[in-house]
Amino acid sequence: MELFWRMMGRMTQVYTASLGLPLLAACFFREWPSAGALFVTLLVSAFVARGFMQRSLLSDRRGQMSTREGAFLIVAIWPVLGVLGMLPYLLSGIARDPAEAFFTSVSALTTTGMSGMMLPRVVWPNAMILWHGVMSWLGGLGFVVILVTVLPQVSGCFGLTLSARQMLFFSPVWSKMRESLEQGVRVYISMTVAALAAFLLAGLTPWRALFMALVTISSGGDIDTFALALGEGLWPEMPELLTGTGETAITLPEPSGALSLAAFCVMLFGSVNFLLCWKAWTRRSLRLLVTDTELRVFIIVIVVATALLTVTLSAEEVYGPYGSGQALSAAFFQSVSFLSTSGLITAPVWLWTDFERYVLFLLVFVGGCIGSATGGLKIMRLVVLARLADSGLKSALHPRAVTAVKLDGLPIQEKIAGRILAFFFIYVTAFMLGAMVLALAMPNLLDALRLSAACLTSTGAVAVLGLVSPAELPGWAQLFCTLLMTAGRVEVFSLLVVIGIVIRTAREHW
Amino acid sequence: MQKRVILYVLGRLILAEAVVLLVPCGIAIYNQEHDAVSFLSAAMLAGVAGHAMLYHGNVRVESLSLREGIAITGLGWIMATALGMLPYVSGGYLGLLDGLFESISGFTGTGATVFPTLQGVPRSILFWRMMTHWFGGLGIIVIFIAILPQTGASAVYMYNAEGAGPTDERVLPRLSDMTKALFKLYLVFTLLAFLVYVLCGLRPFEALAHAMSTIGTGGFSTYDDNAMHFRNAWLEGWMTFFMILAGGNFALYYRVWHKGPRVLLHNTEFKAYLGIIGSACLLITLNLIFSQNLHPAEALRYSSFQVGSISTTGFVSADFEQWPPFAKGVLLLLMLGGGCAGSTASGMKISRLVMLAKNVWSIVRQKNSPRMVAAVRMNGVKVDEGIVERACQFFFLYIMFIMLWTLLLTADGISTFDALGLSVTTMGNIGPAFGIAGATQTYAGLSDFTKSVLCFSMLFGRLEILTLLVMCRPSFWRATTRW
Repeated sequence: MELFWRMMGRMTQVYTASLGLPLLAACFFREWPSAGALFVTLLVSAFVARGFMQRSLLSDRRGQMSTREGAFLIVAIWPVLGVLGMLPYLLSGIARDPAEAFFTSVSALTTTGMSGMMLPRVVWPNAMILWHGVMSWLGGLGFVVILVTVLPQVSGCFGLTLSARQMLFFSPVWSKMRESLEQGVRVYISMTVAALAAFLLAGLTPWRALFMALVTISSGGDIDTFALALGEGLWPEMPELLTGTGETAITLPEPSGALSLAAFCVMLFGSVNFLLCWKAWTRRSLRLLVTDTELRVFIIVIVVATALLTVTLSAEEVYGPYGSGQALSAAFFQSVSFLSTSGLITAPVWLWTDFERYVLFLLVFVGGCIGSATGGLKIMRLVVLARLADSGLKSALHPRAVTAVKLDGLPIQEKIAGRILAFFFIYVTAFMLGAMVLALAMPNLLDALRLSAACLTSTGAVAVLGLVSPAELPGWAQLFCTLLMTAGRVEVFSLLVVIGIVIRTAREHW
Repeated sequence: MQKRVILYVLGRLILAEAVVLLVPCGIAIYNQEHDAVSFLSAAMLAGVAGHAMLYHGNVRVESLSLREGIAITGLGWIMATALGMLPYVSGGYLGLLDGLFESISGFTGTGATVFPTLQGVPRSILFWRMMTHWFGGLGIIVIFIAILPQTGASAVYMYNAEGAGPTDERVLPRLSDMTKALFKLYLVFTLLAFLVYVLCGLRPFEALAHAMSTIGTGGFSTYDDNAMHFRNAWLEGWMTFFMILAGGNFALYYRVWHKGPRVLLHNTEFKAYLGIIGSACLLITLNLIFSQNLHPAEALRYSSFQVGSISTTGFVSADFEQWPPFAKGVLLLLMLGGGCAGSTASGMKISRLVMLAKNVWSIVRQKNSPRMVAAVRMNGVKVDEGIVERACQFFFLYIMFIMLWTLLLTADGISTFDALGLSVTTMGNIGPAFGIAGATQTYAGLSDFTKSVLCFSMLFGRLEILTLLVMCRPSFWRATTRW
């Protein structure tokens, strides 16, 4: 288990280091309670990191990671970092109880972005808001790290190898892993820097630009992200205030055109395959991006969703004066936001018609490209699934024909195809069972379905399509949500692998 | 594509339906209802059309292929449902689209009715609705093959195209023998249900109607308030039993008949089916006891009936609209799952779900012990990988179609959850949904667009998607051999 402890230790070390940023902010804004809380957390997590590193020294060195280790790493990293991440919330006193603090912390780490706290995020201390952003960014980073190192081995990754063909050599050997890890991290960081520049250009102050960049590139936004970035008055506690009597006294903060554009671009790039970007960058060839099937389908999905939303929105008269241009921009922004599972919003989506909300609901399941920090099923897999279904039809008509499913001109191995099919099943099942359990704590099933989708696809804003705020959930339901979020982040399968290991060891020992 | 053979077989199918149409005609004459005329004219129309098709058709063609089988089944269903609507339309009870909807809903065993009320509807029409359930339940094609001997190999393809489940296992080597056996069992079950219902205190006409609806896993009733009308715990208990029975594999029952009930213990699907029903029943009962303070016995009575019904038939004995969201969620999942393969119920089929779950678990186990050869086993026998893959593809298509129908329905202005419920219930051929088409509602108030979408949904669900989807491909109709 040497590598397991080492990876955990490294992650915790990075975590500790990044705590410095909000601490700095706390001192800068003279928010002393938060500063104290963050400082204590820093000490604790440094201590934990040291513990992990010492464990790694105690175990025998192997330099190769077993599936078992990998699976444990993937699943354990979220709750461990989540517990560390909830400490500042608890210690500074903005959280009422551990459940909501843990919910908020895991939600940030898994880039879901929901806040489970009663206290609206806009009145949080600045340092805590920044800490939320940092955690979200770290969560995205952690996901990318896992994606290029451990996940391929543990769950087969369900098609990542298809996109990163010939450029990444996935291997359980540590030295090889490091290579791809460095690539992934470098792309992620440079994209964050670019995002920061974009937001600075859009006219935000440095702190706010940093916060926006951290949240947006990791696709961890939520409905109140723009309000936080603009620092406008009180954000409504939850949209039911608006839907209740039809009074729209509280308006959405209206981000300027430049800011929306910046956020739009960052979300768009945040949902493109990082590995493919790296490949295109190193080879200095734009052709790679242009000819990529997944990217093309991604754009087609955006266009279709935008078209659907624009048509219905501009026909709308109830919710205010949407001109065609306004409808188009609202539709464009929202479809990219939900497709990239970020969940930033520029329009009161909870007032949209059922059809429009349903389109957004479907989009989060589609998700961005494989190899990005977005949630959902991912375009690549859906493309493969659709082609498999088509070839299934063909072979139903010609039972003896040998059909091959191709992607980018290369055939897909049957094993990978089978895995993707199984993945679809397990994902849908997890979604439905999650909704069932949540239904015990929710007033209606649709909201349970939405919350389940929000957790599983890590798009906090989906929950907003309904009327129930996660802050109102009982403690056990919030904890269950964290489980769902973790499951969504590790693509469900890894969780099952861990359960399988636990069952097997239990059997061996009893 | 041998178009003349298709014409010939379809002609025979329509002639058969013409004969079937004479039964409600007889009832109408006996009850002195003016609908006798409309049934008779429908039968005559069918007869003439059938003869014309026989005249132009030709049976003496060898080498019947898969395509003819699929085409016959797909077109057969479309024509049968189109003919089935004639009595409703010509009697002036329903409009054209409503009539078609009612007919499709009947034949597919959905049981979603567009009659605003059944009061004043003559018995012959009521009986015709039940007959559509009964013939569609086991399958028009199955009954057709069982009663009228078929030539050529396309009978197998026809049989497979009619939603036969994931595997093509047979209990008897010859298809005609097997369909005959299934049909006999079907008759026996129906008679049994009829007798039990009579003993429970139903009048013979009602008993027969409900027996046909139950065993065909339809869901039409002769009353507006469905099974709630009777307020009879015994009857509800027996209906639950027969609904669950009809949701099991008929081929399996045939084996039980010959080899004893031990066969049931070795059948993975049947065990899973009972397990799912049992646990769903338990969960809903607990949920009802704790959230609605119902008496345990009462909660069990309502939950067991609804669970048995929603996974197969679509009768309603309690207004589950008032139930807590968790119970509704369980019902929604049951609608998705449906009954066993080879039963009269539709839905995804339990055997597919079991296979899929086992497939996932085998991948997990293989990850843990990389050298292990993990295979999906059903009934103790290894399942071919191709079958598992097809089950996965079916699952994907099924979910995609539900999403698509829901999208279309929400575009028509139906609220999201109601639209989802409608799509799931019509794909699974259940009947009642939630909200606007809930337990105590009919489909009469829906818009024309919604009704036509639901018609497609029901047909796709009954014929297990592939048959109709394959027929949509242009290459399907192109001739393979040009000389």
